[in-house]
Amino acid sequence: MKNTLLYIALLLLFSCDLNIPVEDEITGDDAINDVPIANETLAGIYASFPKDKTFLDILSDDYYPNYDIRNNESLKKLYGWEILEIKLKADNLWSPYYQTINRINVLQKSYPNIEVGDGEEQEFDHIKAEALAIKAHCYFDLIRLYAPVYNDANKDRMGVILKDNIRSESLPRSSLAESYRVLEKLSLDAIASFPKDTNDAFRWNKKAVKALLADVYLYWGKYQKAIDLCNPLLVGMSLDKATYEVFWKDFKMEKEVLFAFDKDKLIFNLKDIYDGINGNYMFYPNRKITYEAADYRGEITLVKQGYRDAKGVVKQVDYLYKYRKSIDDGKPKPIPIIRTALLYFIKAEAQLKLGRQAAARATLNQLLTMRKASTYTKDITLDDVLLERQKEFVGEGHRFFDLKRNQKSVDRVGFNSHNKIKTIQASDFKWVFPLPSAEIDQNKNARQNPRW
Amino acid sequence: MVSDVKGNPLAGVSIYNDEKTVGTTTDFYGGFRIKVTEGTVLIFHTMGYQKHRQKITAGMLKLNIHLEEQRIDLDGVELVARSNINDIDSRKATGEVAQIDVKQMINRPSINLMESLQGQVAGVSVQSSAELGKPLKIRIRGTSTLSIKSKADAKKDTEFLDNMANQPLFVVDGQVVSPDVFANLNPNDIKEMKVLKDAVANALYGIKAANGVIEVSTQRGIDGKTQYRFNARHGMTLIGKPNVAMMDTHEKLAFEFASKQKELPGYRYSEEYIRLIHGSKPDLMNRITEGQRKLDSLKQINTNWFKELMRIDQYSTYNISMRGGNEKNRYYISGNFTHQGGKLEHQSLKRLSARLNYDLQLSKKLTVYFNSSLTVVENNSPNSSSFSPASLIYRLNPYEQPNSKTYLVSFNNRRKYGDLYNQFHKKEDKYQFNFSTNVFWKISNSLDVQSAVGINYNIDNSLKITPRTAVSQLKSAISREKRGVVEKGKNIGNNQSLNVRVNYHPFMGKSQQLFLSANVDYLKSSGNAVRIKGHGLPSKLQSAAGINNDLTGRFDTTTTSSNATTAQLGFGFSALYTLKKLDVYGSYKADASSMMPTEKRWNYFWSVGMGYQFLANNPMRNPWLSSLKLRTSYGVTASLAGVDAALVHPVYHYGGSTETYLGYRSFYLKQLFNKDLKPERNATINVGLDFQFFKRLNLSLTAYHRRTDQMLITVPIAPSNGFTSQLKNIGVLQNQGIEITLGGYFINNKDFAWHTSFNASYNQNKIIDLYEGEELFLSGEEIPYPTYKEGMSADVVYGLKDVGVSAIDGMNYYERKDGTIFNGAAEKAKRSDFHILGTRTPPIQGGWHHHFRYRKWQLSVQLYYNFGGIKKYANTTAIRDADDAYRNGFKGQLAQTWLKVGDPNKKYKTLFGRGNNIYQNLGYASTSTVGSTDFVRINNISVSYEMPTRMIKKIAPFFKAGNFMAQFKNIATFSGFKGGDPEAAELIGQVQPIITLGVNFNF
Repeated sequence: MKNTLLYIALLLLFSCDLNIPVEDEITGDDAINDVPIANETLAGIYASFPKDKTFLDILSDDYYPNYDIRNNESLKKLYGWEILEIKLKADNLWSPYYQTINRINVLQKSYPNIEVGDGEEQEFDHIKAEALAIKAHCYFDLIRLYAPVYNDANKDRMGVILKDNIRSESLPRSSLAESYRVLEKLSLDAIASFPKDTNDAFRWNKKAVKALLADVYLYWGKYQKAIDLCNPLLVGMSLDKATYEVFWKDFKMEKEVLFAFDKDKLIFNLKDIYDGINGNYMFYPNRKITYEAADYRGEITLVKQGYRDAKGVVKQVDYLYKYRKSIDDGKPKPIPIIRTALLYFIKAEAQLKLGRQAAARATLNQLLTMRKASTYTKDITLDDVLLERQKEFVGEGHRFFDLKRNQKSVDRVGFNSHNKIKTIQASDFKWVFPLPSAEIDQNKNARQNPRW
Repeated sequence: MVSDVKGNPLAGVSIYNDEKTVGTTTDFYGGFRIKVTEGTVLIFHTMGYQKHRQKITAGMLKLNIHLEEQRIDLDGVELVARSNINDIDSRKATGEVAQIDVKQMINRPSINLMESLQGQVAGVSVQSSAELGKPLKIRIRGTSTLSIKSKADAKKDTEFLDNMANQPLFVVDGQVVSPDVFANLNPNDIKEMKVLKDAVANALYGIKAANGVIEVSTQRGIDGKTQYRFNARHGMTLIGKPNVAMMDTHEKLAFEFASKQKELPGYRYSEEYIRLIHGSKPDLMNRITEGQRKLDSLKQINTNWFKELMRIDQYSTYNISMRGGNEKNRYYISGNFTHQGGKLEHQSLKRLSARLNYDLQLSKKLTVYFNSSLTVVENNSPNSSSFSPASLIYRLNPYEQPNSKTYLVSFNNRRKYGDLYNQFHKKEDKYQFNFSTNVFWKISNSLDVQSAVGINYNIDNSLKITPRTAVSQLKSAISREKRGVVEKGKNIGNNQSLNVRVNYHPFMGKSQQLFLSANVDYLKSSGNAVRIKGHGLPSKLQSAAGINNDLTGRFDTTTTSSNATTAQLGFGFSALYTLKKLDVYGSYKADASSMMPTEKRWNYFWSVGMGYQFLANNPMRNPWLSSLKLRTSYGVTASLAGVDAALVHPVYHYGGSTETYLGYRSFYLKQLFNKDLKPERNATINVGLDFQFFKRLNLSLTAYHRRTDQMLITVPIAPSNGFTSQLKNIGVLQNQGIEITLGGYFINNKDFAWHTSFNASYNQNKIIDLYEGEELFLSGEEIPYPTYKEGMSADVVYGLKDVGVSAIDGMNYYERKDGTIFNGAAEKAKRSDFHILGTRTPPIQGGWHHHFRYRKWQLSVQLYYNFGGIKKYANTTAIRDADDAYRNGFKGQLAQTWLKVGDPNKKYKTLFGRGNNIYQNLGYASTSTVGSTDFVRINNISVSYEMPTRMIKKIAPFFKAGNFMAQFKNIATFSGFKGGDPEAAELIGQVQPIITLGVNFNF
């Protein structure tokens, strides 16, 4: 009896183990240790990148407000550039960018632990390059949103927080010049790391990063570098109605798109301009955006639909038709980030800014010809380039940055008759978004942008 | 009447004659009745007390027996076998262990055992939300740490996390159980309940017990004639009264007129409005008459929505138990069914429980105890996290009716009454199974070994249904096939515990004693949860089988699964040395938790205590003070309550179905871990004095001081770190307080007895140090005052000093600290404008209980009280603006609203004044929106009448005793608080009074 009890007691004691693995979680510093897991970590990075920036188009003049906006206080305020609404949007965008950067840092810190199997070297190199590219993309967006326009007067002003460690820190903002330098290095490293050119436009690839860097140079004022990057990419390029429709109707990545985010499971369907409860559009494209009959972009971009105005009169307006197969199509669609057409506009703007009028016009006409639009025969101005750019990219998140980069003002119109109600001047402080107050409160080294 | 030496009645004492031919047991008030012949020797025996033999002589009609607590005699005769392995005698000598009066808990008609603890013991606070089936907040000696929470969590989650970090450990028969299992115990099965409050008492349990321990020992079999007990109680649950009275039709229509909103009947049908619109039309007078007629017809209706929506339900409980056995085998079997109806339709709680306890004495030296219980709980509720039908009471207008088919004015988005009904239904089933074996083995007179092995298996099923007809589903964005939401969850919890203890008590002569004890304990708990959530519920099917799996996008069916296991291993040693009147105690415990990384796994605790008996029953020296004992202790414990592994070291997980990219699942870091994290460290000093006066009145005074170092809390961090919060050791919190318990008999004779017990506790907490600066802000930018500040209490309420509504512009004005005032519409309140209004948790809490016996009648009255706290009124229904006048407001609001220039001393601002800041300022607590939550509640009144023998024999000849009883629970609350019930201070959910009648038979 005595012995039996003793044995039972001993047996029970030896079964007392404290090293318990957690079944649905993976614990430890070396959790990311092979290429398939690195790939899943990368999927987490793509997933957390903030994709829906429709509100930037609302702040720009891509849209006119519809009569239905009258009951939607927050959209009305957002359209009017009210401080609180911009603050709210800016707050909500900052965290996901840094969440993405943190996930990239976690992946990058795991590289020494990753065992690369036979035949996985190329895939691993591609993952590394993509991680660099997404980090560059994050910083590029953060600079464009939260820092002033780059010029000699601004280059020492505050840029973004450059974050490389996985621990809680209070980091100061780097200067704008420093931020651009890091951004350039990240892009160049990414370009160098890609094993070869690939055509998977749903992942960052060598060509897309080159285009991204060209865009960075345009913002940074390094126009010749931008042109030099665009040129080889445009060699032999031909776009036509077929390539355009294949993308916007079937969402197949061919010549038109260098990089797009794959459709999200969460709806990205311009939900800020569409009221899901009542099924109405809150905005439709600026009525100044029109296409000639031969220009095939028109039928993809705009669709006529009636709406009732204040007096109950049905008016026909053009709604945005991109991302949709029917007017109330709510299915998730891919989100193009770098389209081939962008290269022409980067090049044309850079050429114009370097004073090469003829070259700039030729570049612009090259694209317009492919789009079956009439071409420019006289000298072009920056406004012509920007207008053509708006026609190409309406509703794709470009216009706000175009206006900011070129320090243009933007008009606000009423929802009934489209009379101008106010103008947001180019000097307005709200072009530079505020850092979230959580950042300012918790990070004693971070300083807020002026006047916020 | 049988009692202990202090005069506390002892229930369940076996009484039998030498031959065991006659026997009975005492009832809850220690009373018994037995028919024996002269010369019989009666034996009184119960566990934990010494056997008492009493010879019956002629004319001995009334017996008062005092049983002495069994201690290890100096001769080392008998070691006490206990069903709870950690309930060792030595800790009692110096530690703070309070006994709970179980019979009070049985008498209170409540389905939740935890609720019945209210007001029973000094220093134990139980806060009920008054909503059936919702977990209660239980704390021993205040909040020891701030809750580990993050800003983004919903209120329900923060409450859950706060409970995880601060609630005590529950132990039933030596086995650790979840608070939920404790709450569902059958009170009739409980023999003894103890509360362990200080470090000396808690140290034996180690890291699990940093917040105190509640120990339960269940009923056991007896060595004697089989006894049966049956009781049935049936009654009704009442609706109580509404938390705030609302406007009647007359006032509401007048208020609508004042609001000048043309959509509202009070203005729409008024002469003023009709003249304004139709002033020039020829049929103006007809229209005015028609408007008046409509108003008159509305005035005929005056719906009391409280009475309409709340309902009277039933409370019933049936209990049967049996116990018996012989010297070698003893058993206790019981079954219980309890049902408590809620105040809302489809709200109820049912519990069915069964218990079998079996003791087997294998030899004089070896006893085995088996405990098993099974409990089934069913909980139905119409309350979702965002909606309760009770909220309609404070919204619907008095001129609206339940059966009307028209759109409601009180919902400005075209809703009919029928649309609001049946929004949500939740059903939870719980199955709790418990089995444990305790072995007590006496190796020699001075050495024994005990072991306890137990398993606790809980299955929780839940089904939440939002029907396809619910308002939230009727949107054009949700097409018909997508309407309706089902969420089905299953959680299997499993606790395995093992505890082996060796006690050594060598014989050391007459004047000194030594008790040594060592133990090893291991606890492994796991939770395995699966959840399915899907959309598209067909109208006929109300189950998870109805999910439409073809839906995509955000209507996708989602499944989640989690399986977390944690384990704790501990080694403990304790020693008590007694020299005459002096007790010296010390304990040491090493504990390891699987949650911490290997290098930081072990935590060490120790405690020392000292007790001294100044007087002991010496009537010669001191006629009124019968005994006085001093107890002091100091101890250090650590706590990891509420911490999970992902907060300490890198833990990765896979994202949900919405977080995939190109078909790959996303894999990422769950939390920003903190590798520098340390467990919280609690140091407690306890000083207690136990007095006994006149041999029947006991007074116990205790003072304590507890310092929590390295307090853990989730703090916001800069979002540029990729996460917005992180768990950190942030500072030092101090709790100190005093506790008073007074109890005993004032009068105790054959016909009349009056027993009273009173307890009061005072607890105050203070933040001593914050490691990073003097203040901590957790509430985000909108709140200008700190959440925690050095030198202040952790639950201080900041607010504005309201100087009232200006007679000139009808706006709220507030006073700054320098005495100047500012307009609440024009200015934002600044940091410096906030005053400290008080603390949320009432520092003074306690109970007062009286028990009277007059011949065959017994009356017991229990009071529960709270003093010193303040809370903000739940005043969400106050109408601030004409735009909001479509819903109903507080009774009397019209008279208190500023309507025109010159209206003096109004409470509510003008209905038309706006301004960016006024709503923000009104949202803060202010001197006019907080109130003292002081209250005294009559928790329970219980009356019973013992049936005369003749009557019992008439009912059934085999019945031995029986009584009738009636209970009245929560029948009155005295409080000046104006914002709902002072305990919960919320609009939804108020106290539910219960009245029951019942019978009790012993046979």
